[in-house]
Amino acid sequence: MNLIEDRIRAAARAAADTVAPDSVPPLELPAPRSRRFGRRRRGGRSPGVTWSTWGPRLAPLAAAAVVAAILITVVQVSPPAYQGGPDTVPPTRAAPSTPQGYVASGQVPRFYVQVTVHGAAGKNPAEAVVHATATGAVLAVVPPLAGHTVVRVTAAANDRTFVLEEEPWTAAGRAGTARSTLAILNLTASGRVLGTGALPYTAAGDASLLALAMSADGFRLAFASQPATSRNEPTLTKVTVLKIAGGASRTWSATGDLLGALSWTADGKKLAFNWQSGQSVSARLLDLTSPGGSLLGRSRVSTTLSQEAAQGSTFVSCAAGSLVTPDGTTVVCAARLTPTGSGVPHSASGSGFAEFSAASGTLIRVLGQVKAGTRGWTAMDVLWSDPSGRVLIGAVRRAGRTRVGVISGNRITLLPVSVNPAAPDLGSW
Amino acid sequence: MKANATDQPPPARVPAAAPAPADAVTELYRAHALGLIRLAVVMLGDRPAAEDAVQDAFCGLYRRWHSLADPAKALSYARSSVINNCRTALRRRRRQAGPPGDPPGESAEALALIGEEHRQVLAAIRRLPARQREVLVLRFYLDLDEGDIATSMRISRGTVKSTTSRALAALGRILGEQQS
Repeated sequence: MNLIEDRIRAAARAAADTVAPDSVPPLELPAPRSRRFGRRRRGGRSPGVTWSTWGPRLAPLAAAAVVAAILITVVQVSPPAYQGGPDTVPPTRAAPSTPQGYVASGQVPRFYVQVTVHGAAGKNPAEAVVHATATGAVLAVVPPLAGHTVVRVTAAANDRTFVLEEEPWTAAGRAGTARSTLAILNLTASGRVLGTGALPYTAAGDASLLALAMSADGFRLAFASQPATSRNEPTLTKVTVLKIAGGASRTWSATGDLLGALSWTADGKKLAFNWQSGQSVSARLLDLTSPGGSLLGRSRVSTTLSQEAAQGSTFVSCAAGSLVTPDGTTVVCAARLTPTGSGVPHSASGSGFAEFSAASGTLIRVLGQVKAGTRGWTAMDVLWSDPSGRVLIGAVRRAGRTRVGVISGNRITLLPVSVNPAAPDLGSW
Repeated sequence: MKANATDQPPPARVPAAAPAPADAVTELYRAHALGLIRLAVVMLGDRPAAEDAVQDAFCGLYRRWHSLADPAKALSYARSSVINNCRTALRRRRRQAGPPGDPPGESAEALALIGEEHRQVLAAIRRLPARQREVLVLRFYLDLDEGDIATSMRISRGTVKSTTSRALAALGRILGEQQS
């Protein structure tokens, strides 16, 4: 018998046996879809909610006009969720209890964009779909360029400007090393499509984008890239900041792996990223006033993403990448909280959204905290933060299903966000 | 005298009522969810993501129940969907990667149960390209033959053979690197 085959069998069985027969969650079937809804999704889309004319964005003059209009809008529209510092955020006790309440009070953005595949995953290209945060209603559907699929979305803080990353796509599937293109999407005050336009971005060589984030003011775009075809490890990782008007850019690079999402401080002076060094991952803050150069030399470690809490009784371990809050004071991530000191491995004893001081790296607080043994939520990922990290939008999970909710204090208010594990993302606010 | 079966009038051929889609899918889930979640756990190393992949596969099966050409192949359809969902979850994880090492949903209890030797092998399998990883899991965990693997992955038998061969070679190299 082949040794490697035996090792595979044994290892797979050991992993499989960790799922106890009595621990299978019940099946939650969706409500039957109405015929009207199905027809609209499959066939011609309602003109009122669909932006299907991508031709104009290919014309340089039209694209330039659209970008100019977007920049004017960005300047004129005050970002509702980024207007103040920590003192302006209502206390937890006054937190609304409904999605409508959060939107009405301006504590969370009104719109989000989700990358959505209609029909079987892999058989159709993905589109960008604009939703109302309060109701989940579809406000607009933005198809990709012909022969492309939408793979990622990022949002500015004005609740109206988004950037879509698209890759070439065929019915046989998405080419992993294909060059990305970027397009800007601007919404009206009611969430309809105001315009779209191609951005002046050309992937250098065979670069593959790892992460993408728009600055709060919507003027700049940060992205991380690696050579897609490189077989060498470690790999050169580049972080580029691109001015949307004019296309001027600055690049920082280092050998190693950048993980998770990029996030900006609201003043546009710092960019947060997660960096892997050996078995440790840290959140780092890049100084964007620097002229480019060394990614590690121009950034500093803000906090490590796995650490013993100050009390010494709990080990806090981020389950996914972290974000910096717009005021730059806090780094936040979805975390597992495990008691320490017993010497016996525990299953995660609880979870929550851990917030660390960006200056000292110490744990400040945990939002949405749930202890082990309760039938509560498990924090999975943080998707958006208000200025100071007092109100978050994050992915949580219970009974085998992932949901998206607003987290404030220890309250989690579910949003009417449709979550499809087969879809590329949960949404961008 | 023993009655001959042919003496009796044949029972009326009343077609059995087909179960409602929700009942049929729920029944299929009851019978196979454990195995499919285990399959997804082997693929992903992440219990929550594995449960999501299976839930979504059955929701998709429910939505498409009326368009299934052969309901008897519903399990095959669900298995293909789970594999597809695992592939997507891994792609998404690469984009939103958290700290390295153990997959994000792996509890300390599960890690302790698996043991170091098996964890090394699983980590090596998860470093393989998606198709190679899937072929190995279907072949050596589910013990599917080449035809069933080809059906589940919607590839040819020849591709199954060549991919298996490449995957085993790559896995050997990775495990060799770890031991050297």
